[in-house]
Amino acid sequence: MVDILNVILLIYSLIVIIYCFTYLLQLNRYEIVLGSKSITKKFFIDIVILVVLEMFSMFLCLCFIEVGWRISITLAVSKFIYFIFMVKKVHNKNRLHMTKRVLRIAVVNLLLVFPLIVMLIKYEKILLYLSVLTSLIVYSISFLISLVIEYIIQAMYIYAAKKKLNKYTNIIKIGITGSCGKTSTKVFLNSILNDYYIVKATPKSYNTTMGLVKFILQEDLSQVEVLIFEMGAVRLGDIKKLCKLVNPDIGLITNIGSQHLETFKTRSNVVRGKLELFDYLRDNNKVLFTQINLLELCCRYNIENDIKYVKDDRNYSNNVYTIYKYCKNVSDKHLVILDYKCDKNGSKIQYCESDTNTVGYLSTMLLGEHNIFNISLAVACSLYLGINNYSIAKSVAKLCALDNRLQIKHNELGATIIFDAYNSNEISFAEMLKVSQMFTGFYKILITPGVVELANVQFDVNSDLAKKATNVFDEIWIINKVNKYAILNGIESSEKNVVVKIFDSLSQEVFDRVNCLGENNLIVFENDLPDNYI
Amino acid sequence: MNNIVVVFGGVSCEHDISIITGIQVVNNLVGYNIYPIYISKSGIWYYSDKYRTVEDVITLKASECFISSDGYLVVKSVLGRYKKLVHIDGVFVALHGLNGEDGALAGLCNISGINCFNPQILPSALLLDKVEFKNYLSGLNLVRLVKYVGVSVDQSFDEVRCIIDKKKLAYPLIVKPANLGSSIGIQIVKTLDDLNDKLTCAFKFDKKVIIEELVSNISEYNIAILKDKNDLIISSVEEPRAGSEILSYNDKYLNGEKVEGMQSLARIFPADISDELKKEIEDSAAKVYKQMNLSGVVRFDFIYQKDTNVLYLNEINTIPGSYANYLFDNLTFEELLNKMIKNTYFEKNKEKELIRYFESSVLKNADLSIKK
Repeated sequence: MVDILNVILLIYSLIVIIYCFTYLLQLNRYEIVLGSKSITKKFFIDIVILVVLEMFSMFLCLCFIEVGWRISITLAVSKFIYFIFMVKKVHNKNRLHMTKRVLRIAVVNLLLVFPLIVMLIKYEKILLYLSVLTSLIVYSISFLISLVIEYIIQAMYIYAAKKKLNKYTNIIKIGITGSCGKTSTKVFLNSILNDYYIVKATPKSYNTTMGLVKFILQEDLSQVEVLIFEMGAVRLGDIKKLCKLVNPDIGLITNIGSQHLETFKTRSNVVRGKLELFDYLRDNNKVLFTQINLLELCCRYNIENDIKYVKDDRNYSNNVYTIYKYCKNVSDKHLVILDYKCDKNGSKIQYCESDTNTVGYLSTMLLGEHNIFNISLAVACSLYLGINNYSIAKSVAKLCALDNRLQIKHNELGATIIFDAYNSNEISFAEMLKVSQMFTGFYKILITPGVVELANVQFDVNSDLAKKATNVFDEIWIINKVNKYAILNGIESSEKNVVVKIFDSLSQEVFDRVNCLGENNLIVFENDLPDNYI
Repeated sequence: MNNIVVVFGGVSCEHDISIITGIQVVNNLVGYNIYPIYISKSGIWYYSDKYRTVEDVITLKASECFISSDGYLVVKSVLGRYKKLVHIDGVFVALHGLNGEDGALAGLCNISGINCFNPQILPSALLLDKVEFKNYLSGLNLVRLVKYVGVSVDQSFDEVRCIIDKKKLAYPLIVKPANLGSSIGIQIVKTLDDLNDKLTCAFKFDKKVIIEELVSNISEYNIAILKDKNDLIISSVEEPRAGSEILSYNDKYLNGEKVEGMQSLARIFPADISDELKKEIEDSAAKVYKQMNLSGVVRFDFIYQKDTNVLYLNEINTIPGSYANYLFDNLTFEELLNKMIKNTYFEKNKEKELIRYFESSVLKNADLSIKK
């Protein structure tokens, strides 16, 4: 009777432990590197308690073989109750996604555990193995083994993708990178090129190696003429790896800010990381378009380079900014933006194409100055690929805002709501402020948790942004406690009075309140926290 | 994008010509896995990977097959069980006439999620019917049409006479079944006395008939157009020579010993016409092609009245015999087929940008009303 009960308890504990561990692992993106987004940091105290419980039970088992069964069961039960408690804290938003990887981890774990059970049954210490099996150690070993297996599997997929891509030699491949604006630029470029070429682009925001590999293997590339890849970088070497996979013919860099600072460690590394695209294109005699003066950037961060600028004596009246074309290491003006106007209905751009000296006009419904830069970059690339000005203008006029990137909607009572919750950083936050300011005569409410992933500058940046926000908004609703004090600090240091409301999370209550607001209200949702901030 | 099906044969009067077109397509597709499907006169679908000549179609033993709604070619094995053979990436329709050229197969492709490289349902159906396509074009003033009326078998002879009088059609007239091609069932009516008999004869072939004024002293000119992304590739103009007053089925296909269809008819190519007339033919055809948002290869048949120098559009074929490849002197048949494939992909890719589905609260409201 006791045996059957023990076996059931055993199986149950096994399932729970594997589930909990794998769930936390998945949330941490299968990484064991510590960063501020890391789950391990969040549950540090909990993990310490578990490890102590673990150490204590191991100690008892080793010293006193005939340990009292009550103590043993208490320890085991307490360990996995604590586990469930830990996981419940994050569980309200997500479940464990059952993927092939999860199954592989579970299988390796079980394969490791069963010999142990068999060995221990021989000694008839059922109570003992209840304790052992909940061991962190067993799980950690199995995870490390699965890590090796995963690495091999990933390498196989990458090889397959590379082989497939090399089969089609006629496809023009474009790689887009930058701190922000990659997805927007990719979508704009896709829309413009779609009228002349058979174009395919990486979907949604896939920009990691495995994301691109999945895209390459799944899509039918036999009739495709242009492929656009969005390349994301989190640490040094990411872009280099992607370039080796994709071998782009044309590159675009949108901008270089300070996103992912905690994985890059220094701003200089952020620059170096993005410049890997430039390095690859230069070494392979390909072309790069960007509005950044790379020579200046490298000097600022003391990065060695051999970039030359072609002396351009042409006189552009009102040269507001330029999109440069870098071929090898020589830069040349490609597209010069002569003038632009932004208002709450959209923007107008006047440009001059350097090669032919023709002037063109663009008009778009998209809000915000950063969209002007993104559009210009896409236009510069399209002109290089031979699309005529008229067709480009037509496509640009049709562009719509991407989901949750300064997307305007209205509620049933006529209030204007701007959804800008996709992602935020100082640049896009500042941009949002500029755009909101254009809505004169509206009562403005900002709903935000602030900006995250800024390592040790997070408090100052949020405080500063909050202070700037008080000059534009009448009310600020703070979501989540992660930046609460920083934002309150910023508000207090400003001279303007704003109404402040604080919420634990972006709950239904917030949306209900927004739905009650009527015309002449402008509500801006800025940034949404990733799931591991709860 | 590897598995391409070519369908030919069909339950129509143009079954035999369709086999010729189909076999030509099969032999000119390079770089793909080809799955030829032959539809017999009784409507049974046969598949054999060895169909390469016209003789093969008649003599080879083939397996029954069909296309499933999830886009697979399903073949009956020797033991009588149906098995999915391959997933189909695209279909070339080489069927002529009813149940083939009228968009029926294009419709099947749409539902099964397969690419069809020939024109879509609406233009195909509209252009196959001689009455309807003229009704459609009449209001647009893009091309000149010979005076005509369309009548159906449900109408009495008196009604028909009334209609002819109202439209002020002058004898002699020409009577054609509306949905048949290849000059089958065409009759010439010299006076009112002939009309009833000739109409009855025509109604043996179809439920709808077109009655047109017979234009005398004419030359016929054919031209074909192929869409290439945002441009049109316009072929040269040919003059298919006629043996008697109008091209009959005999003239078109049984002139001479070889069975090569439209390609082998005694013809003048390129047609010996003035540049002005050539431009008029090209422009008229292009205008109609663009207006109807056509795709693939389409052949336009014009009639030119030599005395009055007037050009009329007579007929449009959405699946021309031999895909009119003989009209394009700068393109090989293989290049033509490749362009048709590429263009379909181009259009499909662009269609992704169109909004086809809206999230609406209609269903939510429906629920509430049911509860009440």
